[in-house]
Amino acid sequence: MERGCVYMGKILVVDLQEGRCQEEDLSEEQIEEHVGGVALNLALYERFRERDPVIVGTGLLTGTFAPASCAGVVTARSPVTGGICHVPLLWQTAVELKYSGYDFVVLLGESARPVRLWLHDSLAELADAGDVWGKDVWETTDKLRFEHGDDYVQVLGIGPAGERQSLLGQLSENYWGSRDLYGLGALWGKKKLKALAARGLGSLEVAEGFFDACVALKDEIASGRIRGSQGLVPILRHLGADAGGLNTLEARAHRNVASFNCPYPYNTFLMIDEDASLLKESAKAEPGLLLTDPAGVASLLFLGDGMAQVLRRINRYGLEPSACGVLLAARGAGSAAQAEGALADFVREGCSLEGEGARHVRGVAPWPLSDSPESRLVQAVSLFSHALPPQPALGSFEDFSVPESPQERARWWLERQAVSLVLGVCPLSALLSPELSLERMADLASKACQWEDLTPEMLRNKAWEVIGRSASLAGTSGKLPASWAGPEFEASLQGLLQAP
Amino acid sequence: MELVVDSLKCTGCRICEYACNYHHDMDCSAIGASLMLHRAEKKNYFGMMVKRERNLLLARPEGPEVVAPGSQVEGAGASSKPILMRAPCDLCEGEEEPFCVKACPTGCLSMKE
Repeated sequence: MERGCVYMGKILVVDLQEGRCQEEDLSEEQIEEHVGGVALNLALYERFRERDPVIVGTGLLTGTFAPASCAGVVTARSPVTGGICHVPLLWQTAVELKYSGYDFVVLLGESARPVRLWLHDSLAELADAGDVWGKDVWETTDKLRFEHGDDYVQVLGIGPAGERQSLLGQLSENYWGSRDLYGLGALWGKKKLKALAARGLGSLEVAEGFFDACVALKDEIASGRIRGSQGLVPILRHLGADAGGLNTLEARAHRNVASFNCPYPYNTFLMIDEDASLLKESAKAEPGLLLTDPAGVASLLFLGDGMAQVLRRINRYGLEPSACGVLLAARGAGSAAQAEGALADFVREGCSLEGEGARHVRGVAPWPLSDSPESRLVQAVSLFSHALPPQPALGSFEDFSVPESPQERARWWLERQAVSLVLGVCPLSALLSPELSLERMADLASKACQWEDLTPEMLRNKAWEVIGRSASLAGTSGKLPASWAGPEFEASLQGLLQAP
Repeated sequence: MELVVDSLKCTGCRICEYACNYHHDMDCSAIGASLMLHRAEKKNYFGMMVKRERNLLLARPEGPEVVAPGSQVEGAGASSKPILMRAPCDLCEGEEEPFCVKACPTGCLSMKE
């Protein structure tokens, strides 16, 4: 059995400047060397770095029976930090991308006019996006799904904020916010790429015994730390979010929803214009919104009952919710009406946290619920998304057998993110379930394609290679908060980036 | 024995579709599965559809409904049509337990006499 059996075997290179799509085979050698996901993304980034590439990639296990195998990753130079960032995709997008026939998509240069990319049945079409340019995220997703005749089409796209190249512009997954805090929406706007839509009807071969091993791990996860909990509220409560805000949110909570094959459904739908207990299909077209981003929700809780309405507007504009929360608080927007007015300004003015004098970490909104030394360290590195908690999302560091030192804790977090994104395992699930250990992830990856020397040690090395190389490419320009700065912090940061 | 769907336990993760397909085709895909998630994403309305030998089980959140082939079904969009062309559920004949039941993380799917 080949290493690449859990990949479709194709890399798509899209030259936006020339308006041309070209396919390359994903070789066994590339998989042997990089395994997949963020490691292969980085190799492709380095190969095409002169053309300001954006790489959308899937992990080795993305879309398979492996528990929490929903993840993909977008790698690019962040217009916010100036450094390389790796943004996880955690809804259904990465799975549809892989099954559409393309494991990796490389987006090069800038188009002269708005375009959109449609991937399906191992075919790639780069089309004029004049019909959706100017539309918000929800209108765009609706239009593309209608046009392609399928509600399962997954859309990675931008709204008006990205089109105007606002540094608060984020990539959206379908209608909802993503974990992009790095302004990738602005980068897509600069490239005039409105959306990448994918629908997958392909299939992957997996080795005998893989399915049973996945079921066994899923059973352990389901009866482990997450047992009895569902949704975003328990996570935010555990992480110390304001109890009053959470009670308000809970009153509007509808059903919790899992990302592809995730044992813990961490997405929570809020009803705004409907009763939250409604079981029948709403007669209203847009009764609420799906909460997908712990940091964004926590940053907006101060708006009380108006939070849901404001976040829906943020999602439609394709704005980054955490930064919006920081700016709205700084501007003293206490009501939903005030906040919605200010959001229109953010889109129009293309503002940034740095420009507004608001608190930030290298231009990015800080994790809102903790200022612990380890959380400062992982944010200062600014490679992965700190829309995800910089700590275990339900349990404690002890549950994950992590030593007490801030540097060890930060190291654990970085390694967990990198390993997850190499394999395509959800990095939030990896912060929820100790059962999803490095050893078990390596075991599943090895079983998926009978790759015997894919060991935990190999994965760990790969993770630290990604972290080290990404950091060395960075040239990160943004500043750290003044209260963090100092020789001791700098030394910890430098030590953190050394491979163990 | 029959497959039972407790829709309110479903979280829409879709792994049951891939597990079912694995029984039919021994690969990882969803295109040949006998069951399928129907989702109206913007409304957070979702439930399972199961193609059975003689009918279709619509496991809606508000309660299950069994419909005969060719019936008009409200609310099923274009994405729901492929289920009618799939092989019916055989409860993973020859297996100890249907693969969808094994793979489900929430206990939404089970078997009953």
